[in-house]
Amino acid sequence: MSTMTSDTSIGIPSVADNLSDDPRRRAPLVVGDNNYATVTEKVCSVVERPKTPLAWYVAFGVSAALATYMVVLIGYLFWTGIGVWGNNQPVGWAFEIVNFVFWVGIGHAGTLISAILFLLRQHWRTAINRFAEAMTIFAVICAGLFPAIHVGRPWFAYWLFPIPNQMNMWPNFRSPLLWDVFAVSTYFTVSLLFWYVGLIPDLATLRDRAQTRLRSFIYGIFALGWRGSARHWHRYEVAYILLAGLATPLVLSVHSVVSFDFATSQIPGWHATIFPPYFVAGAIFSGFGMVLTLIIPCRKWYGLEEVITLRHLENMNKIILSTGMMVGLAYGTEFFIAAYSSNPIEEFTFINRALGPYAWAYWIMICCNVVVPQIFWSRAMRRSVPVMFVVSILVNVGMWFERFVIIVSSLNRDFLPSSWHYYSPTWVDVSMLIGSFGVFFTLFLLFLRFVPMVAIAELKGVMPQPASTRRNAEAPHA
Amino acid sequence: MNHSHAAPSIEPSNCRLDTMAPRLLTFGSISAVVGFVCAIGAGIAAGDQFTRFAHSYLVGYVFSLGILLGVLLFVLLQHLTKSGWFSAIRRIPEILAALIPVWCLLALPIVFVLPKLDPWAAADPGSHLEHTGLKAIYLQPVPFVVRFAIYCIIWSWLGRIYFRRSLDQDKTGGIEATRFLERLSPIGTILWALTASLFSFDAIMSLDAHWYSTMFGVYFFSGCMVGAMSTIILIVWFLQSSGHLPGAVTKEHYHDLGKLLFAFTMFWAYIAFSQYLLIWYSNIPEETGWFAKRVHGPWAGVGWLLIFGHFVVPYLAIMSRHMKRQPRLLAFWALWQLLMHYVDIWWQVVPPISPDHLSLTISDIGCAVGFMGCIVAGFAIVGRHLPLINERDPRFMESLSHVSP
Repeated sequence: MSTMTSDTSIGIPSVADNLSDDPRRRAPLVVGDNNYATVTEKVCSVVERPKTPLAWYVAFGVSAALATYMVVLIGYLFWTGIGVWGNNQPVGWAFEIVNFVFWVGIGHAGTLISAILFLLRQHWRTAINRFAEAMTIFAVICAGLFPAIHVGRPWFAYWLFPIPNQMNMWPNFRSPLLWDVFAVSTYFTVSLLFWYVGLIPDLATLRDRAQTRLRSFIYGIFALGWRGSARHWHRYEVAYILLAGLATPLVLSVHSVVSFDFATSQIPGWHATIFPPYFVAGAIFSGFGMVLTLIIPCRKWYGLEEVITLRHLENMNKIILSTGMMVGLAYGTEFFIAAYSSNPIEEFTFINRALGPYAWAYWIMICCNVVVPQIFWSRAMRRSVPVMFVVSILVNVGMWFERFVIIVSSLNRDFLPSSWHYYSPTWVDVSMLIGSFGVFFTLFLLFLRFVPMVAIAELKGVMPQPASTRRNAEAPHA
Repeated sequence: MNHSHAAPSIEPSNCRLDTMAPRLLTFGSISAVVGFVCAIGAGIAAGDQFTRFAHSYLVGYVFSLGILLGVLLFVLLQHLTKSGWFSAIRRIPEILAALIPVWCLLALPIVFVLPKLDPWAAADPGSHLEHTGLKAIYLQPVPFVVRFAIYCIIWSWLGRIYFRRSLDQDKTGGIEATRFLERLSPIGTILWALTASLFSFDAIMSLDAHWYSTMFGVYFFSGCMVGAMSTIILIVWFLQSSGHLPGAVTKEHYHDLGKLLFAFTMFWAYIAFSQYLLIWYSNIPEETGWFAKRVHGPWAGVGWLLIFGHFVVPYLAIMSRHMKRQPRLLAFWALWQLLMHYVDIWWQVVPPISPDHLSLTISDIGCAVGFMGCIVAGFAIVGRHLPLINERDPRFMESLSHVSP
């Protein structure tokens, strides 16, 4: 990885746009009349504004109100018990587990962008990785809420962890639910570390630019004494690549383990061996959807269109198209194998999914996840900001419904028709889904206000794009 | 980052097979002939009406075709991602992928021995009456052959078009070829995914007509990619150690090829483990039967060999940066993984017909040698007059100056 060690301005020819697909040269990643100084200024000024914009307060007010509502709902839930939810036999898992899987899934784009795209040398990731990593962390926090409040007796929630105790009572180590605890908490820890390590040089920049002693002190603490010496950079880059290597298997493992929650069972519709990679593809799909939903307004409001360019958005749309088709292939494979198996129970489950009581949810899922992204075959659509904004939201609607379809439609038809039951959510179920968005956006808005949303130091490393190749030509950096 | 580069010294003479081609062709053809003759001889000697031979042939066929398919996907993905690092020597996988039409012809024996392989294809109708629903129609010789023909047409077309257009570019030097192949690559990749998964169901999964696993296509894909990366590494290493391609391939390229081999080794383990774990955990008899034959009794040792030989040992070895940057060492591990990929396919196909003892016959080895000989001979015939580098690829210079961080 190459990064800048100092903040000197170097004249870089202005580029109007970077949408050319000429195979003879690589498109620049930053457009407009920008140099190192302007990029630093643009990103830092967002968090340095003395007066917070009114719009931020409004957005924060709404999110915080919803987050507070969530806290009240959790209090109500604890007071009365989980009977306030619509879950009932045979649908023992419903909205809360759907929300859990949904939020964990969203939390996949960040580490994919920061680790896998880093290892694959996709330099365009530098403009969006900070943003996506922050989103990942907040999404995982939202996800973690749901299993914790689902345990029924929340005062025993700590029993999820294998804590030595005098009763010598242990969780079942062969249960995928316990693996989930390990997988999600490991993922959270590594994602947080990764995010924080990447932040250190930028926090030092904010510290050095601070106008007040308090700001300088606080950013100074988090910058861990970063001075930007060659030795610092050397260690930083080694740490970064090691974390990327460690985080890569985690991207696959977390959602694979989440899929084990279902696939290790014997429930038709849950037990399918393709679940691990299929869940991972879906998670990346929804994660990129959420990154787009958030980044489109942010780049506009904060004037970062020259850094997070249309090319970045187009690349994300391509990833959405390709992961959407991977998910489509998995849907198709499941259906095909159900028919191929000639197993009446498998056949019934899938016919029930497409034509049964939850057919509406199934077809919402198919439309949003498989049909709608096909619009991105058209270059004009891939580059149309309004179109991609709508698609990005629909992708997440579709992915929420995917989990709903898998969980609820497989459970609602039990082996005996006497145990069939149509699940409907209660107002608490729906409110908690909305409330979780409140928690997510509250954290996210705080991030926008206090932390640089683009990795400034990394961005500078990819900025001047010499004509033929970056490495070969005389790059102005070490 | 200071990496010292020797100035690329690419000359037309060292970028062609030329004198090497006849020797490769002789070696490849002799291996192919000797291999297949021994295999057929062993098949006759076995006196089981070629049942064991049919399985050996299938193992060798799926093993070698899987490599070529993996290589084809590698070419498709290079274009899909507009990647530059490998563009100078993309000709090598292009030549391999262009051999796929030959494998369509090599499939003919399988059609003839189908009743020996699949009970559902046997002439006795009683054996497939028990299948109902889709399976009763799907697992029939005629639909099987029709599907196979469709896969062959698609793969051959893709393999040839990426080869032809790349050769055109050598003459014209235009970027239109690159543009065209980039545009075609998403469609090619989708077709690949569909046909390769169905092929894996048809060729291997249906050997046990009752068994099914939705993961099987992904499992096949992961194995193909391990085989393809190993083959590419071995060929590049062989060509370089015989004095070809100096400058066009550097340690940086080996490093990245090694990373991909490492990544797919991990991916294979991830998929194989997930499939096993989910079936073991659910313990549904229809599904566990498949693994029961392969992880208990005489075949259990092969299962352990796969865990350690296909994953743990190479995983630890190829993780090392040193290992990836030493072409000889990397080539050793590529050969190792190629062998393990064969063991993997063999372990998937053979156990049901030899449940009581481990069965590695002369016909197994003969067929494997025969098919690999076909790849070598085919590479020599197709590549004999061609430049082995894509000199006029628009990203040629990017590939030469590639640095692996």
